[in-house]
Amino acid sequence: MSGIEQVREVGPAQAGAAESVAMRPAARPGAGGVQARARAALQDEFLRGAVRFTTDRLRGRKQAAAEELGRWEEWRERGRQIRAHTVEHLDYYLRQFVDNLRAAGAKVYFAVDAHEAAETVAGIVREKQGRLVVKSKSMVSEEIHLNHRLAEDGVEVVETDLGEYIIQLVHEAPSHIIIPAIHKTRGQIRDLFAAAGGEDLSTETRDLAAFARRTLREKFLAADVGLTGCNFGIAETGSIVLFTNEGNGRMVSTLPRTHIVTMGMERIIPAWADLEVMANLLPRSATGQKLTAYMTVITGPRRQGEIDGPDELHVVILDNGRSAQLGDPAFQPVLHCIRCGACLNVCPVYRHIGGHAYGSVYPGPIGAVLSPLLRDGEQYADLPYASSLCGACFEACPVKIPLHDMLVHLRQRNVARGWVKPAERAAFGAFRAVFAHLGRYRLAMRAARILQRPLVRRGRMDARVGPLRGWTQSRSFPALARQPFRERFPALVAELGPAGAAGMESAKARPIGEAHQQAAMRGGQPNGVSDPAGPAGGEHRG
Amino acid sequence: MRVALFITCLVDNLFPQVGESMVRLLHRLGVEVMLPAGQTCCGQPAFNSGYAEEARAVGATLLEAFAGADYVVSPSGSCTGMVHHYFPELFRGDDRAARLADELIRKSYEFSQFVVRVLGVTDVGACFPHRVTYHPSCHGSRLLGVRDEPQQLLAKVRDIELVPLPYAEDCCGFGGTFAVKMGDISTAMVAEKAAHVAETGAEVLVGTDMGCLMNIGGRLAREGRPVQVMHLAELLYEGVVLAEGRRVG
Amino acid sequence: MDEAAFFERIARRLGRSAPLSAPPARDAVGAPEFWQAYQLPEEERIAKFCAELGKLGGHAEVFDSLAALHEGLRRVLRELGPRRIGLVGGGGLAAFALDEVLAEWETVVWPYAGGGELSEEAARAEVLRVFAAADVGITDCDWAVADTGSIVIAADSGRGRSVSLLPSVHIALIRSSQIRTRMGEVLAEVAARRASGGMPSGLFFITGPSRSSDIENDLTIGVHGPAAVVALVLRG
Repeated sequence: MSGIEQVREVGPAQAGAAESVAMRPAARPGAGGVQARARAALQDEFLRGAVRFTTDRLRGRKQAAAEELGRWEEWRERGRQIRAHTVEHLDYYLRQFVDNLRAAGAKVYFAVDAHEAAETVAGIVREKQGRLVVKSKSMVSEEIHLNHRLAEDGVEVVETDLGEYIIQLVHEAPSHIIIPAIHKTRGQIRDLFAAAGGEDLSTETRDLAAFARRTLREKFLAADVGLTGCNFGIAETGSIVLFTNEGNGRMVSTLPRTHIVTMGMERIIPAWADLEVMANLLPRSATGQKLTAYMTVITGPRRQGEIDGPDELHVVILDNGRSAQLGDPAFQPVLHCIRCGACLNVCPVYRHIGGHAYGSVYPGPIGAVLSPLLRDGEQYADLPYASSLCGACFEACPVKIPLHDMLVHLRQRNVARGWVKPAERAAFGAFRAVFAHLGRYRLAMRAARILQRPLVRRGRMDARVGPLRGWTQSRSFPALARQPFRERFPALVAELGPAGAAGMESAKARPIGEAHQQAAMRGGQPNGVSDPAGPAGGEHRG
Repeated sequence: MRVALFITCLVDNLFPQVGESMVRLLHRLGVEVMLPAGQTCCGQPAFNSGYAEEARAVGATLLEAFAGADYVVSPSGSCTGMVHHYFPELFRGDDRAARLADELIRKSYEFSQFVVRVLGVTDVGACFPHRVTYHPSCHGSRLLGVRDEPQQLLAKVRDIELVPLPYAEDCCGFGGTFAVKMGDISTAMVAEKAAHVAETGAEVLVGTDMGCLMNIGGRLAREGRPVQVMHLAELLYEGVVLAEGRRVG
Repeated sequence: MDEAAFFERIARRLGRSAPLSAPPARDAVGAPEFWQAYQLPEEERIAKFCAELGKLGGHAEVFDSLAALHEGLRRVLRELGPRRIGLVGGGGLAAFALDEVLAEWETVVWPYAGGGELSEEAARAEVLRVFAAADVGITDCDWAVADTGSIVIAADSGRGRSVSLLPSVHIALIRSSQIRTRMGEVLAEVAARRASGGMPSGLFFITGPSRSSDIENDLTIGVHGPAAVVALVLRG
C-alpha cells in the first residue's frame, strides 16, 4: 500500500498542476501609467525570475494537456461557439438561469455597478449578522472591492486559498493570476506565518501548508458566511459551477450557513452538456490539468433532510460595464472569456513585467482589454499599448477571443476620443502626408538619407537622442541605405534579363559584398560569417 | 510567370539587399519580377497605433499599385499579414477599395509562402555551410499563417546546420511603434530573445521579417555578439551562388 | 438594480426591443461529435479510471467480490491506522456491509443513536464536528469517470457533503457499473433528472487529492481537502 503512504507523505505528484484554477485578482489600480509601473517591475529580478519560471511551467503543461486530449482546435472552436451563442442570447439564458436559481431556492440580486454589488453583499452579511466571512477566490469580488467594503462594517474576511491567504497576511495584491504569492519566498512566508501564530515552523512547503490548513480549518468551521465566485452558471437548471484545487471552494460552499455567490452576468452556459466542453478547456488552459481536483455544481441551498450544506444561497449578478460591450462587434467577444489565464502565461509582456504593472484587477492581455472596457475612461487607456500585438494571447485563448485585434481597436478608440498625445497625432498625420503620396515619399526618404548622416557610424545609429531613443537606448538602429531598392531595381532587371535564362552570374554582380558591408548594421561583425561563395566557403564542402 | 513585388517600406529604404536577393532568387526560379511604382507602405505603423484613417490613406497605395498584378510577393509576413488580416476591415464601406483589397488578399503571398505553395519549390539548390537558427515572426505565423514554409526551404539547404531557437515563438519585442513607445518592455523582450539566439551558438539568425530581424540584430550588435542576421531570401540566394560556384569550381 | 431594467438593458444592447423569451436555435451543443462517440468497453473503462486516479497521486484497486473488497479495505485501514473513521449510515453504503470490517476501529456512523433528537441546526453542527474529527471518511458514490479518474458524489443521496471533504483521507467504494467513459455521460444523466425535479443540491466531481502549489510553485497535497483519495472498485 505504498501508494497511500506516498500520498500521505506529500509525495511528488506524477502529473497535474497544483494551482487552483478559479479566479485570481491582480493589483489595485496603481499610481502612474503602465510604463512607470513596468519600469519598476523590470527592476525586480526575483519577480521576473519567478514569473518566467511559473509561466514556463504552465505553458508547457497546457501544451502537453492539449496534445493529450487531441483535436484541440475543434475543442476551441466548440468552446467559442458555445460562448458566442450564449452571449448573443444573454437576455434569454440569463433569464432562464435566474428563474431556475429561484426555483431551486436561491435568492437573486442584480447590481449595475461595483458599488451596488458590494453594498448588496454587505447587506446580506449584515442581515445574517455575519462576523466572519470565508472566501474562496473570486475575480468579481476583487472587481467590486468587496473585502474593503466588508471591513468597513467590522466584518472579518478571510481569504482561504493558500496563495491569497499569504497575500492577505502581508496586505499586498496578487502578482500572478494563478499563483498570487509568486513573489514571496518560502522564508518570507515562514515569517508571515510565524507572525500569524505559527511557532517553530520550518520553511518546508509541507509544514507551511499544514499551518495554513490548521489555521484556516478553524475559520471554515467558525464562519457565518461563505463567499465564492462562479466559473459557470448553467441556465437550464440554475446551477453554479466552481473549479478549485485546494478544496477551499467546497469548504466555503459547504460549512457556513449562508453561501453568497458573486458573478458577472455573462458567466452563463446554456446546458449541462456544455459543461463538458468548459471542463475540458478551462483546467487544461489554466494549469494544464485534465480536470481540477474539485468540480462542484451547486443547485440551490441544501434541501430538507440533507445533513449538511448551507441553509441559504444568495447570488449577486453584476453588470459593471459588461452590457456596454454587447452589440459592439469589436468588443462583445470579450464577454466570452472564461478566466483561465492562458493568455497571461504566453504573453511576452506579462512574462517580463508581471501582474502588478497592469495596475488593474485583471492583468495580462485580457486585463489590457477588459479593464479599459469595463471602466470606460482614461484610467486604463494606456493598457492596450502594453502589447507588441504578437497574437500569442489569441492563439492560447481556449475560446478564441481575438485579443490582439481588440487591443488595436482600443487604440483606435483612444485616437477617436483624443486620448493621445498631440505629438503622436502629428507624427501619424505626417506619416499619412508622406506615405500616401509617392512623390512626397521619395522626397522624404531622400531628405532622411541626408539628415541621418551625422548620426550614422558604420552603417548604424546608436545615439540615444531623438524620437528613436526608446529604441536606441538598448539597440542599434540601421541607417537608411545609400540607394533605396526602387532606385536599384531598373539596373537589376536589366542585368538579369528574361527570367529563366540566367546563367552563372559574375562575382561582382552578387550582393555578397554588400551583405558584408551591411553585416555590422544587421547585428553581426563583418567577419562573423565567411564569404560563403569564396574559397573558404568552398573548402567546407563534404 | 510574372509577379509584382510588394517591397515594403522597410526593405525599400533600409534593407535593399533583401529585395535584391529575393529578385535574383525568384529570377532563377523562372519568375519575372516587376516593381509597381505607386506602392509605399501597407499602413501598419499607423493602423497598429490606432490611426485607421491614416493607415487607410497609405494602404490604398497598394490597392492601386497591384490592381493589375497576377501575383504579389513580399519579403515580409507582417506586411502581408496586415493586408490579409486587416485590409477587409480597413476598406469596408468603400466598394471599389474593398474589391481591390479582396483581390489583393487572394493573390498576395509572403516570400516563403510563394516559393513553397505557388511555385511548389522547397529545394532551391542552395548550400550554406553554417550554423543557423530561425526566428518565426509573430505576424507571419499567427496573422498570415506562415508555419512550415521557411523551415521546409531551410531543411533542403545543403550543409546547413539548423539549430532550434529556444522560445522561438516568443515575440522579439519589435511590435512596430511598441518598440519605441514601450521601450523598456521591448528592451527586456529583445534582450531575452538575443540571449536565446546567443545560446544556440548560431553564426546566422535567419527570419522572414526585417522588422523583427532589425530589432534582434540591433540588440545583438549593441551586445557585440558575432551573429549575422539574414533574411531567408538572402540566405537562400547566397547559398545558391555558393552551390553554383562549387559546381563550376 | 431593478431586475426588469437589468434585462431590458441587455436586450436593448443586443438589438432587441424586449428580452428574448423563446429559446434560440442552437447547432453546436455540448462536446464535439467525435468526443461524444468516445466509449470504452467496461474492462478498459475500469483500467482507465484506476490509471488516471493513480496519475494524480490517488490510489485505486479493483476487487472481484465483496469479501475481497472487505479484505482490501481492512488492509488499507491497517496501513493508515486512523484514530477515528466517519461515515454516513444507510443509503448505498449499507449494501457494502462494512460493520465487521470496521469493528477494529473507532467508527462514527451518522446519524448515531441520539443524534436524531437534536434540532436540525444542532444536528448540522454535529455532523460537521463529527467529520472534522475523523481521519478517514468512507463513502460510496453515484458515478465515476474513467477519462479523468473522478469520483462523483451527489449531495442529495443521503451521504452529505462533508464526509468526503473534512477527513484527511477519503475512501470511496465504487461499483464498476458506475464508471462512465467520459464526464459528459454523467452530466447527461444528471440533467435528465431535471424533468423529475430531482436535481441534486450539490454534485461533486472529486479528482484526486486536494492540491496547491502556491508556495514557490512547489506542489503540496492536502491543503484543505483530503490529502489522500482511495477508490476501491467492486466489479459488478
